[in-house]
Amino acid sequence: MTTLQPDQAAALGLVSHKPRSEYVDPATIDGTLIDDPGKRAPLVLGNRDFHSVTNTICGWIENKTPKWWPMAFIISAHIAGIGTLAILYLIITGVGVWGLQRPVMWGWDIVNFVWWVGIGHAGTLISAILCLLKQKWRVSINRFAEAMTIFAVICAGTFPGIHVGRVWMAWMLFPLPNMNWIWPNFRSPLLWDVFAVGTYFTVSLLFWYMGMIPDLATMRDRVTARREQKTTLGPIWAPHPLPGFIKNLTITLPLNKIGSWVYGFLSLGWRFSNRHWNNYEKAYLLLAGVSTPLVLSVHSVVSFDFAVSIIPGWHTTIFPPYFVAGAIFSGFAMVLTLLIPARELYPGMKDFVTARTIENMCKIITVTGSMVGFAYMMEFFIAWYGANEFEQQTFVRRAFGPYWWAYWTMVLCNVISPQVFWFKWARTSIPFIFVITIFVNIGMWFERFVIITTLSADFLPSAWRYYRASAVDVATYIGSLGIFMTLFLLFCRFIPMLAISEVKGVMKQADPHAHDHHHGNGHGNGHANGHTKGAH
Amino acid sequence: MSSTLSQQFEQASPGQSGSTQSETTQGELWGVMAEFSDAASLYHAAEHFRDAGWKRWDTYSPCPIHGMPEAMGLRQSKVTFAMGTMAFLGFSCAVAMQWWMSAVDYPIITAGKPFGAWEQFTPIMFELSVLFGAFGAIGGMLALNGLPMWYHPLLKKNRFLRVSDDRFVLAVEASDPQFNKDQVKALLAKLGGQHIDEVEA
Amino acid sequence: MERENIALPDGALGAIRFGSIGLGLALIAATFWAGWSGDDKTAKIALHAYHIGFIYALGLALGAMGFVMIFHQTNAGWSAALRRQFENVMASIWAPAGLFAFLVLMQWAYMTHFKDGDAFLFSWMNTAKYGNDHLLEKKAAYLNVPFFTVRAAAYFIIWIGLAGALYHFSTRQDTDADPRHSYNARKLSSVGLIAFAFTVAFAGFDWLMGLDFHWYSTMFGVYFFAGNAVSSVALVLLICVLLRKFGRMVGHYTEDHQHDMSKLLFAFTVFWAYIGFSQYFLIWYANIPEETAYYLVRKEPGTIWEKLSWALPIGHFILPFLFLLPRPRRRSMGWAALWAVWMLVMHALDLFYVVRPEAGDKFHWADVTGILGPILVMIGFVASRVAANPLIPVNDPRLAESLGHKNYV
Repeated sequence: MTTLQPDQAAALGLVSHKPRSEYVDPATIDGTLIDDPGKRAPLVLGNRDFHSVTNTICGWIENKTPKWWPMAFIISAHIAGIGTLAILYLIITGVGVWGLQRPVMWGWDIVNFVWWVGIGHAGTLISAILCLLKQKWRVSINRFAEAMTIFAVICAGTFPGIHVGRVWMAWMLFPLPNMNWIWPNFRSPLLWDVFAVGTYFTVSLLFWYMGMIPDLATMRDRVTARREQKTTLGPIWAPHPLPGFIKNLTITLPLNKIGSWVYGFLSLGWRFSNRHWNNYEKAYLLLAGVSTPLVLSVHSVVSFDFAVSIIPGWHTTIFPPYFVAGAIFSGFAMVLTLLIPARELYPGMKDFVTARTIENMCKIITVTGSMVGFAYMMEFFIAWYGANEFEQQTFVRRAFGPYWWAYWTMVLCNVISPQVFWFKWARTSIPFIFVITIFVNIGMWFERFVIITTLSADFLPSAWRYYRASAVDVATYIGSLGIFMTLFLLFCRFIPMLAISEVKGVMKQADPHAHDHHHGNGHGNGHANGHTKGAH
Repeated sequence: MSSTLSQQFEQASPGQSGSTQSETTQGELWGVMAEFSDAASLYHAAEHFRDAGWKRWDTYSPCPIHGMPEAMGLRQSKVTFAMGTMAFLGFSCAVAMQWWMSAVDYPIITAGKPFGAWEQFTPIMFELSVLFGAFGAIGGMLALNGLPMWYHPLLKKNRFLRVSDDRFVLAVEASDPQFNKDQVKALLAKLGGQHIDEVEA
Repeated sequence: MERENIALPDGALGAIRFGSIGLGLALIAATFWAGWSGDDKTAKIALHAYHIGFIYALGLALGAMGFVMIFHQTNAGWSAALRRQFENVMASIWAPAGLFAFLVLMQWAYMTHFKDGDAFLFSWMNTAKYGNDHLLEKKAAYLNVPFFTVRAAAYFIIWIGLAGALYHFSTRQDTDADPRHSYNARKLSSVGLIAFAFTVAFAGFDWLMGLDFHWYSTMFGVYFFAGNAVSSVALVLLICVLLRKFGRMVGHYTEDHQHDMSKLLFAFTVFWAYIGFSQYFLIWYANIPEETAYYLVRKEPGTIWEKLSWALPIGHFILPFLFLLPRPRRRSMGWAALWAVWMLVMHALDLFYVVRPEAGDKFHWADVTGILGPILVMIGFVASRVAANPLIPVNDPRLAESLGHKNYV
């Protein structure tokens, strides 16, 4: 994007109460950072029509694999392999290979579990809550973020799964009839977790899949059109010194046939009927409606794991909303961590994921980061106000005890670092945002670490012990990052990364009244004063 | 490979090459389809069909169009009822299951809590309502749409496949009581339809 | 857009404005007299009842202020046309400020009148009875009269400052049509929301949680805000529907705005339930003596509090939840207004449930007058604001977008 579109230029021209040259360098910032309250930034840039939207987004799948992809995939898969080996070692040997020892019986595993579940929350926030709030800029990131949710919850589910010790008995987590004639304990927050995380995963997956049906149908139609297409072998094997007649051989790639089958099967025969869209949009809205309390409930239930106990520092009533805010905070950071490189690597993605979208996400990071900071302060205040010595000791020990480094890392990364987004230059400098999102990811991991190290000083001082993670802990955690990245790279390669039909839905071409009159719909709000002049 | 696959798709796409297919129509007639240039003309055509009382017809667009259900005279979707029913079912299952398992069949004393207090059952009551409700929403959507349906006459039309890209299509089925092939074709042409074509079953 | 549609005639709502304030002041006077002429227990009841009314009035203004700032900060388009009504409620913050001043006066008068009695709103002020309380000694650095006064003054200065500035931006824009006011309001709201979060949380701690100084809950600030959000949305919804009923804001407060206001009411009803349940549930489950005392009193079998413990989840959550669930009811102004009234009553019950048990379970007619008086004064203030300005922010740059707002699905 080097030239401004007419509507952007007009919008920028109308905003003139502040010198704006610093923000409107079209080479770096795309002109969507409009501050005028009466103007809406364009959602899709590059003067695109529907066809170019389809072509760009599908092109990321259909075109030749980018050079970086195989390398990234191999590295991620290897890291995932390390994690798998660590898990196997744990299963064969026993949970003792982790650094767990009395009194800290919940270590990195629960930290990782909560961290991953939390990261997943941003996807649901973007797809559900922002949908209810009619935030149209979400359409360019929701597919991406929902995929992240699914993969994060897969990683999260691994940890409690392997922590049960005898993994082959994990089915007893579910209320299944068994020969012992016993049932799970429904008063245990850990069982609520099973239901909450299970429901969350299922509903997120369904929501993601349902959103994908039209786009899979688009892929189906495109790959079907290319089904009988011939390809010469030559370019595929170009680097190899093959004889000329092989290079010129023309074949029909079976990939197109396989693709047509797979996308055709998964798209369920979707045919873009408006009678279908009517039910589809309602179902989408209803799913958004149930996912909104669901996302709140999941991290609330996770917080119950800690908060229903009577452990000082764990039992505090603000935990449910505070965990939810923290979850969304970390999730948005992770979305940005993934989105920023993707935006650079995939040509044309910047037309959809505009500087505005990134800026909005930065703002949400600041809001949720501040909520988390607010909750830290409330915890501290009430620990003092509650006048309970154990509680007070816990909090003093968090900040100034043996784990002071973890505590202050957490405060630095979670409370202080997102505050830079108060400044517009920080919200618009892409490399800087990337660094901050890494900080936030680290900080939110440490937040959970701070919570679990509370256990290291329990009610019996003679049992106090400094908790250290073992190498297996570290390998499992790093491995979960590998699993996550591997799944994510597969997603980028085979599934439309942006919700094509939703992106089209917010473009002016989808508005049947585009020429009748001007209102709403992201464009052409320049008539505000014209409408209202009659008042005085 | 000098050109990318997307560009090859451009060349291979039926939009440029498949405009002479209607001459080869054989077999039973399923209906008639016509392309419209943009959302607005499709919208106005839909309003016309609604007002003329057509029964078996439909519009096709790459994305949902705001106001189209009204323009087509569709009612509010019934997915809500599917979801509501299922959510209530999930809620009831959660109540019955938890109460029976922990208060009747296998009461164990934990943390001095009553066996059947509602508080401790609330998280799972909520989760199961949501889980079943989501099943209801998606299952209801698919059932009301008659999906999955992997075969459909329209999907055989190469031109129709471009709806998933950027075309707007209106199709009238031959089973509509008002259907008359030539009149429908003329009507569609009058409303601004292009590439009017017959669709075989 | 004719002038009659977007403004009330000069001197409109006179009966409501003066009648409501007059009656409210009379009821407050009666409440004061009831306490003054009775014994210290009656005085305590009068104080608590008046406190409920005061918190109710304050909560309306605070909830509205929160919404105005959120609308500005998120650059919300749909709400521009009806934001003025939120601003009217917000700008009535002077009423609770005055009511609080009277509360201080009332407390001081009773304190001096019943020298040895227990005529205190905040038990920690009763040093004769609780002077040797171990917990109070620990908390004395926070719970003492000078610091309490300073905090209260600070809250009101911040609130009045924020409300005044936001109201000024909006009303000035009516005349000079400068979009810069919207921009400035957004800037102010960003900082304002942080100040708002802390002041509301600590006001909740000071004025509600502090009624029983033994008890504490980290969540309480959020609970206080959740209740305020419900009541303020309900009130604004009601104002808008009444204005429509009298032929105003036609085309400005449409079925689609109604739909979204109902959704806000619905959402915050659920949010209140979420916060309320989480707080209760964690305390119930952990069962620690210093926390359960609060719910122990309120779940004592046979008391009215126990009945309220059931009435609130049902009336404040389950019934409105089920009722507002179907789309047509949310779009119907009549039904939604009915449930707005219901929620306004329920919010009063909620505050009654939080505050009143601290004054024992004997009742007095001062309970009614004390609660109604401040609320009526607040209604009068809001009515005069409604009458004073155009009913919509006529030059808001987002107005056109707001008027064209549609809920398609």
